[in-house]
Amino acid sequence: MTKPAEDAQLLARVVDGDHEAFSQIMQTHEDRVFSVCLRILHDRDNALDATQETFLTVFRKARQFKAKAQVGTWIYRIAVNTCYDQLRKAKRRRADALPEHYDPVDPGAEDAMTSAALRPEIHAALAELPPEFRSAIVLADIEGMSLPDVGQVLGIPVGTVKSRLFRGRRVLARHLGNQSGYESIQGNV
Amino acid sequence: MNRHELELISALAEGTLEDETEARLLIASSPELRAEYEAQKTAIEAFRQVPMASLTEHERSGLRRDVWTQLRAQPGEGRVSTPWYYRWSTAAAGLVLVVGLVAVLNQTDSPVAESLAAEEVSAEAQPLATDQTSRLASDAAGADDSALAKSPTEVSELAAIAAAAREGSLATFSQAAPEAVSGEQDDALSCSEQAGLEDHEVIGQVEVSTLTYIVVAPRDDDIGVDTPISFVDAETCELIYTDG
Repeated sequence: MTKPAEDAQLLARVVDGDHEAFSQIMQTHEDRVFSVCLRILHDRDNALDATQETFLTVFRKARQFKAKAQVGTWIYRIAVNTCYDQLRKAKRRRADALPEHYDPVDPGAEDAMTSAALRPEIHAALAELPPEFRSAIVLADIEGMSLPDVGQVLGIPVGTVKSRLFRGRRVLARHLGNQSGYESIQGNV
Repeated sequence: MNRHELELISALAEGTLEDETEARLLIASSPELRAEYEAQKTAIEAFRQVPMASLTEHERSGLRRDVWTQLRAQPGEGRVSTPWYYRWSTAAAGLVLVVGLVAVLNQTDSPVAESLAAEEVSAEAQPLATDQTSRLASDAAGADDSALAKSPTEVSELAAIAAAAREGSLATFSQAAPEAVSGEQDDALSCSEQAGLEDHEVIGQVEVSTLTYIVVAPRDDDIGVDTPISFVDAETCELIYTDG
């Protein structure tokens, strides 16, 4: 894992046409971008597509990066927005989310699926959450990002992040058997 | 529950409070707030146990290959050359081929063996190249070392770009800003006409192994799975390869 300052130097080199620097950025962030996309999209192939699209966008927009945020935060913001786009497209194609699945020609996919598998109640809770709540939970509670970073990635104030986390956790608690009488995600806090 | 109470309960459940006194008093004041705290804590612990998902090696190599293929295929500013490890793997494959060829020639050391070796090289290039792969095929048959090293790889890269063009994932001139590409497109069109492709339209420009190719398809055809995609050397205006 590179440090934020190293990431920024690498991105500056990408702008100058250094493709090895772009490869290093990909190597550093590809697993986490994929992980975030998989948890948001619930589908391995779609997560791979979103990861690919994320890095293509990173390359194309490297020149537009402003040093106000960390490179990592910027990349995850692109990833989350790419996932939202995919969800919108998928919604137009079909009503229900696809289950997570694996490519049968990839011998490592089954193991990867098993090790990344979610407990059914967590899967159900995440699937029930609207995408903007799901992404807050994925970034903060699953990926362990700080609340200000989550706010930057999602482009929302920290207070809104807290509120989304609170409601998202309620939904999971209900699936886990706690708080069965609590109102749905749409209810007031 | 107001926002302050919500934040206190969340922070207590997350374990991020320096002083927990106020939050502990709050949850002790009401069974409902206590239950809310327990729910939050249970959910946080469950989410934190979720394993990080990672790419398999198959997915990782596919992802990197696809990203570089897409980036190489885009015209203009964003176009990239092949990264060093791709160039080295191509060079290594070429080196193995040349070493093999030298070994065969040393073993037999006869004109017949020399001709067989050249045919073998030609045959390796054939499944990838069609009869229209004029320069690549003739380079291979002519047993030019540099051509031997790059032809099969180059042809397969061009075939992959052709497939991307058919799928619509190749960034085309028509998708780019007109002012950015009009001059370049005119030059490319004139070059493709010099290559004998007068009834074709230019759909993009790609760089493979340091050579720039103009990508063309028959005019008036909607690009689909059966559309032949041709590659013209942008420097010499020679037709290099037609896929499909």
